[in-house]
Amino acid sequence: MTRLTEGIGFGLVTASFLSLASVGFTVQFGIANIFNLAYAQFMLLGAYLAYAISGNRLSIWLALPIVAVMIGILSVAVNRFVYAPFIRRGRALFSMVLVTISVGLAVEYLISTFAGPGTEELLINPGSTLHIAGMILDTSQIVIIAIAATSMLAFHVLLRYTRIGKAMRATSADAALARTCGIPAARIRDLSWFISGLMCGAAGVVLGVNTVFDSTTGSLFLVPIVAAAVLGGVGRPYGAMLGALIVGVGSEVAASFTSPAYKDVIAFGILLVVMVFRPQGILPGALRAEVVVE
Amino acid sequence: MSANWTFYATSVLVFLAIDVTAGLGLNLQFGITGIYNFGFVVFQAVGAYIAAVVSLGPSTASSGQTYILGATLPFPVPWVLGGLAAAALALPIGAVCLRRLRGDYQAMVLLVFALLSTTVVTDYQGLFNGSGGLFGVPNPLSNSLGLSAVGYAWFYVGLAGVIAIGVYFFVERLSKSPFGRVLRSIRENEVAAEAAGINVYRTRLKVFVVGAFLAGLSGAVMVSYVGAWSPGSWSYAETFVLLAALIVGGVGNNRGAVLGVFLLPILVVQVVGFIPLSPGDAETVASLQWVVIAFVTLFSLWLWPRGALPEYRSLWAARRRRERAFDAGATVATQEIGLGAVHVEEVPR
Repeated sequence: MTRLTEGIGFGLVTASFLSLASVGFTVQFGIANIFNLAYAQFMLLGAYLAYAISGNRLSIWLALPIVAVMIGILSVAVNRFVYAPFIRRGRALFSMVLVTISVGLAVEYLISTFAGPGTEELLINPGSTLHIAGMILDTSQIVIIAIAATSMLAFHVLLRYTRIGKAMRATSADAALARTCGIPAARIRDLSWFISGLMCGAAGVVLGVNTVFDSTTGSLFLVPIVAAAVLGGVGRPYGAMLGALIVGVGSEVAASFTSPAYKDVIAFGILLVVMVFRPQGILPGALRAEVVVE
Repeated sequence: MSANWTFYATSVLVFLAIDVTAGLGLNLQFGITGIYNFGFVVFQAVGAYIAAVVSLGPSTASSGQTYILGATLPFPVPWVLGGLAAAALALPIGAVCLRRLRGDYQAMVLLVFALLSTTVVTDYQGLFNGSGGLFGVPNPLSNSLGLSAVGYAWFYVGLAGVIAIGVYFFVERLSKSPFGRVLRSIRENEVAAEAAGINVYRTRLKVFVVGAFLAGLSGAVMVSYVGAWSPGSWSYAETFVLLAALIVGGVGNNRGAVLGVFLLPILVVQVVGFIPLSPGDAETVASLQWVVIAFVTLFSLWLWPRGALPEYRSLWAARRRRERAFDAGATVATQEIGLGAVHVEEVPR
């Protein structure tokens, strides 16, 4: 029983990280209709930026919003100057996954060039250990959960209760139709990339707090992120939140009964099962993933 | 030529042959059939591991390595088994990933599969000796031939070269055959291919398995030459070198694939790898190589998306069309579908 509750506790922390990461990933798919395979590398860049600007001088919790904004701006720039021109130029000639993975590879190895091959860690004072309903969490983990929960709530309010959110949903559903309705689709698209970049950066900092990392860590985290996004149906933010919760808690609980090495295997198992039985994700509705011909 | 230069030249030639074998396998999947196999390197790795463990002998405590299936099989058997093992793995993976999903979705899942495989092999020591990897893999026939070291190096160049040339003719024949036209038709327009009576899923699965066999074979040739194999040698990015080679050389054109392999994995990776550097610089250069490859791919996709040697399909289709129009008049349209020359321009959404 204690194992189960402890597993759920760790699972909530993992799910917090995954929700930030996979919602950002899925928003990018929704708005641009591409899988941004460079996402994990930008996340890792966030962790390195936090490492660079925090040092001993600045608290990591203060660095987090700064890094988030930096990655947000970078995401907008990459979309404006790399992805969007490529999309305009050649949908018929090649697939955008080639472009995004090239960008990801360039970022990963530029990090490796500048930061060297060693591992880094965002050192943080874990604070006091708390026991809540059988879960053992330290203060920093509670803060992580709080950041994720607040971000998700804020994103929900933005999407549902503001005109900008409505415009974002409309652009994601059908950009051409949104434009004819007078929505400035280009600006909304930039905004969506910025918001997804914020989440990407925040997820990167959280990742750095949770684990030691080196230049290859980012790509490894693509496994649970993709699993969570696909589980909820790619392009659907609420699905990704649910997917993050299921993948995060599921893999940690299963790992606490077996071995931590199984975490990614379990996430991949979930991904395979979803691919076979429900490639459109667990939420009812959209069938986007099953579009056969672009 | 001094002995050092001979070894240098022979090893570049061996790697050229290995990369040509693998590149042609990937061209069959990616270039001709349009399967974005971002997990290609996994099949190469499986071929290498299996070929290694069935030639290393039983895993004992004294050898310092733990692995499955230890055996000492005579020369060509490990290579064949390596290819077959990769093909056997491709069957279930392809069965799940090649279902009716968008191509980029499949690519993403195969990439995730490659990332996971590295973790799994690293974490489970008992499988293929974990992160340490396998070492001391014997060179095939090195004892029975009685050649000098230099002689053996040239012998291996010949061996790998024969395989690469054989694979070239195999893939070339396959892609020029009616089956090859079926594959192109799937790449160009899945719905039209399906409407013409092609079972798209099964055909793609076949190509996936055949390509995986070639990947496994190339891995086996590599491991027997290098003598060691560990998760460090097959990160997901290794697939990308070959993909980049195809894009630069000419997607769907086997000669383009060979040219691309010569330009990228050989000139940028192997040749640079032999330049003597201090350890710290070597790390930086290795990282910069990847950055260069990524940028070369981006520029190539932007400037010449069809590659240096483009596939000759437009000419081919046009000539066919003229001939058939002359011979058969109005039956052109229906026959073209069977020939896979359906050319539907995509409308930007």
